Amino acid sequence: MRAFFVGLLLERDQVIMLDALINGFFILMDPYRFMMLMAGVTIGLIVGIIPGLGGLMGMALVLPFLFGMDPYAGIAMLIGITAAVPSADTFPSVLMGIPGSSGSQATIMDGYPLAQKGEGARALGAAFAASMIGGLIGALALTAIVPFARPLILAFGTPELFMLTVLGLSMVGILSGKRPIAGILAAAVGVLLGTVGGAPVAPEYRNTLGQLYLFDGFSLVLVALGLFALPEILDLLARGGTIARSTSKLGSGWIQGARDTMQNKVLVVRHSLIGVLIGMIPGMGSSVIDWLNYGYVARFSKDRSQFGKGDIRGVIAPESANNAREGGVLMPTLLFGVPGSSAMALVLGALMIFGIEPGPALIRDELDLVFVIIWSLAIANVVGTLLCLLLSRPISRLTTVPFHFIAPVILVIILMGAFQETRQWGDLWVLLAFGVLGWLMKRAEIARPPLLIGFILSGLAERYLWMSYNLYDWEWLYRPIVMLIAGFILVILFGGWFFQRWQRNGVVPLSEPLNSSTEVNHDDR
Amino acid sequence: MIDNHQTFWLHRALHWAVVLLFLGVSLYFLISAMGYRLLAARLFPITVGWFATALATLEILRLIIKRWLPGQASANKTVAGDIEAAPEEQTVTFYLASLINLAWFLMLYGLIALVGLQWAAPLWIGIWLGAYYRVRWWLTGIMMLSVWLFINALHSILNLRWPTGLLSF
Repeated sequence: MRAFFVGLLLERDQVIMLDALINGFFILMDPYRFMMLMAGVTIGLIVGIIPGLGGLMGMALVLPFLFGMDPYAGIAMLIGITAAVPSADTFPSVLMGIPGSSGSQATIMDGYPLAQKGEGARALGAAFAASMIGGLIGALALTAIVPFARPLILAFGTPELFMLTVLGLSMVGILSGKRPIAGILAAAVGVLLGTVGGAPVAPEYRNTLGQLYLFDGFSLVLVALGLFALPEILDLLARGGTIARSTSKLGSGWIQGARDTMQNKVLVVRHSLIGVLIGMIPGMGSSVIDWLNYGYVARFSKDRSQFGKGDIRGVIAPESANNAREGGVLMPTLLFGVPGSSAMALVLGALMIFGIEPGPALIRDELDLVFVIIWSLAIANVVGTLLCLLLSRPISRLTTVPFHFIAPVILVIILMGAFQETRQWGDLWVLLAFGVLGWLMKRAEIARPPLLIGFILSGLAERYLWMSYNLYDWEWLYRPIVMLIAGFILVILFGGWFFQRWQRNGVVPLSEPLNSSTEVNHDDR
Repeated sequence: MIDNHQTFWLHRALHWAVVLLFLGVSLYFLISAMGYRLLAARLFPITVGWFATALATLEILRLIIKRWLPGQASANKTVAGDIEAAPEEQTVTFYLASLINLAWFLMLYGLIALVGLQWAAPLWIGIWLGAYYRVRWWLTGIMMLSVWLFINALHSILNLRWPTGLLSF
């Protein structure tokens, strides 16, 4: 009897899942939403090919325009950006020898030598094919995990949700790079800045300086734009010149590149799965995954003589892992409301803009949206890769445009976007203040994502803590899932420390010399 | 040739500045939180405020110890190359260039305050490209026109608003 009911429940769950899966597809196929997804892919391609910008800035750039937009369309656009960047950032890595973003550093090792030999098209063809397959495997893995995670997540109460926000905050230790204390301090300051305005659980306004403008607190959009967009523009302008200092010829061999990927299908699947698995661990940046996969293929291949000189496997392995990672990163973000990366912190922010609570509530009430995200990820990967193939020649020419032509246009878009927040001058001043803070932090090498994550999770943490205390007093600390998450937090904190020690001992070659002075965005995509 | 001493000095000064700023912010939030009437309003900011103040103090202590312990400074420069800015980006020249660009951004703010964003943006781009970067006049003109059209297109399609200036454009 019990088995029958369990079977019946499982069947019902499966029907719900299948229904949401199909619904998600048709929701996304609405012309307006599909167009927004394509707009996201286009933006992702543009920011991906410009070294120093990356998906984080692209997402920050579109965040202000999400207000009033259909939630499905807005989220699809953001996912379009995040899915397209890992494909587009291959251009500068292969053609110029500089990483388009932090996740394409390892591709340089063999991609650039191939381009110098006149086999740029082959390297790009292989990279795009691997990226597409990797991205699809990532989306499939995400689809597979949702049915299993759902029953567990629905068992969560307020104390568990509070612990999840603490888990999200604890990952800043890993995102803080070589300065964990400064990074955690930045997160704490972010939490404090998030308390400005009306208190979530009491009729009191805090730190508004008597300004009506601050009664609603700082806007997430302005904080994100200020911290990530303005400093990049300032630095790229200060660096001067064109985006590319020298560009290798594309040559021919697109089909050969795609064939190379097909011939190495075991390699593609293996590294895609590694990408998904490591991506699931919050805070594991794309650069870590990139180098880990490159290190793996370079160390365990039978013939290692050509690595670093132009071995196509050195392009395929990191590229497939990098795109698959997006599926892995979305798992903690969607299922638990814990941002798997800095870019996912912005996805969480976008969900909040639409009034959707991330985490268990999303799985319980907005399953269609979860599948819209998964479909967006899969479609954006395919379309992004095809666009990269089709537009490779004009895109490679775009990198020769001097940045002082691009910067003013981006700046005007930022200002216009920022002003849509409350349509007051305060928006522009807050943007400027956070821009200067972001630039100072960047130059001082204090990671900026922790501040943003602290800011985003501040309100949730305060609300859940107070509710847990009111409902259970301090007894909630002894609940089994709470204790389990607490243990996981300890692993994250100390595991991160051990991992950094491991890196410093040279096991993971994070400090590989790059053949360009162009900055690698340390803030992760 | 990059002066390593100059690079290190700039980096250290900025790190100090940011940590001191964070300490000030933490103390401000902590002290102001103590004045709230309701426990529900003050519990969270006081807890986080204490934590942040302790962390800022710890970081300052770390910086002081690092300053006085020989060999610490150079040891710090060798780890995790992907999270460090390139050395040539930590020179006085680079910082000055960034400050000059920031001044240009402020000029755009000033122009917006005067004539509103719709006219300030193309005007500023004209001055930026024509006067600062000495771009050919026809190319500058095309950029100005493109931006003006872009702003108006966004206004028409998305019904966006922008700040109007003192001259009420």
